[in-house]
Amino acid sequence: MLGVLKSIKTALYLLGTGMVIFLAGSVYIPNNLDIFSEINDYPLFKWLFANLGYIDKTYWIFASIVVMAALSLNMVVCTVDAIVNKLSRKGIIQKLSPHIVHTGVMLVLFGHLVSGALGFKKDIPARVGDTVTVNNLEIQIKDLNFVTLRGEDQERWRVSLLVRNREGSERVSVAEPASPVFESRLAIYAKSAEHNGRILLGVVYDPGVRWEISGAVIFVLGSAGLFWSRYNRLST
Amino acid sequence: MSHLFVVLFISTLYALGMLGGRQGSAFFVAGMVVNLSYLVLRWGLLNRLPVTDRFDILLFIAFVISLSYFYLHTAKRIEGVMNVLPLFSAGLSLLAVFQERIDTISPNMNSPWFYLYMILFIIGFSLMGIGSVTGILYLQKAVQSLEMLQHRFILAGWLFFSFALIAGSVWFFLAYGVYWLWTAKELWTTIAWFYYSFYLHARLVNSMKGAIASEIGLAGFGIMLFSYLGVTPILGSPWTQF
Repeated sequence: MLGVLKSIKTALYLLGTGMVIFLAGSVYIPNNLDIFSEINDYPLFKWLFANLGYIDKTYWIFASIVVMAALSLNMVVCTVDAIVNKLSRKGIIQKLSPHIVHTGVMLVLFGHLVSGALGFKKDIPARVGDTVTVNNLEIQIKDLNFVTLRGEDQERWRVSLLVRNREGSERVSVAEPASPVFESRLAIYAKSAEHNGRILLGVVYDPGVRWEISGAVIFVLGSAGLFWSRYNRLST
Repeated sequence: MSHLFVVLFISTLYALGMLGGRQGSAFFVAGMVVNLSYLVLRWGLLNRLPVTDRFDILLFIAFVISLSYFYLHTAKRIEGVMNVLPLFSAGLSLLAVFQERIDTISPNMNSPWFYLYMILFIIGFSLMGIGSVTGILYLQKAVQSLEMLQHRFILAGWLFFSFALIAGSVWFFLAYGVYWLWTAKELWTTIAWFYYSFYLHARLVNSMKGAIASEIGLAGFGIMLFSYLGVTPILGSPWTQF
């Protein structure tokens, strides 16, 4: 059993199966937009369980989760085996780097799982002067400005927000396109704004992001090790 | 219209590289000079890096792939490079003709993370293209060092492609509050990433070494091209300008 789990052929079968599942998904999504139109607006598991009635169209997502879990297990066993049985001081970076890359990928997958299970998203229509409360966070919309930057195809809105957290401390920050305000683990977006003062705020809580970022950093470190060891091998 | 003329001109110069010898090289290098000049001109006109629409991105990729001429042909002196490399440079620049040229960007795209994402994507895509060039040469000549080169270019390309996905996820989270979308386009990006992961691992299996691994690696570029240019029109994924 352990032999199968750490086998590189198992990884190949799982990668192949994953590709077939995603291929199926890429056909299901555009052909069933009535079902999938809101999949990106909710955390994955919340959406999946709300749409259990369409299991004949969403089964591939469950299948992809199973394959990702199996692939993660394969990577864990492979990495542990390499560290316990094959690691030696000679060429340690060359031997360890692929496993550091694997660890990064596993953390990213885990982060995805955490986001899908524990994430939270909410859109709040509001106006300048309004105060809204989300997760014990008070957000007051102080001001709204528009600027036109060269090359942009529409006016850029800048929404000034007074954010008061549960401890009572407050600060004023500006939310604009691609630049949300972060406070108390929440990201506050100014998703759209109109000249009449109407604003669509978006609030996102995504506990998976920390894992994703950690995974990305570890992936980059492992990649650097791969580059370094290959370069060394080439130059010697 | 004048832009299309320039692109056709660049593409023709690249294609004339196939004439071989000094003449072919002169045409090919001239293609690179015109390609680079055009990108610099676009940079000046747009006042930002020309990496925000597919028209410019394809020309960028064609140029970066062409740069491998100096490594594969001039430095390594690999025979037959000019029979294959011009096909990639000319083909990719020609594909730009079918793309819409867009001079503006949405405010959400105007982020350093977006530019980093596109630059890393262009480098990754180009390295995989160069890997395909060496893969074709290996299948023609059966010289082991060419298969090794193919592997190294694809490995580097896969890493840059991965870095691009990381930067793209950061940008998308800052812009839209999610780092992943369930769309056909994203799924095909994942398929492409999985496919090259498959190639990198398959090469470690004895029964898949050599020509089989090289063919698997070569097919990966087709998947990259389809995931970049084919998914939206054929499968019906939401349109993006980049």
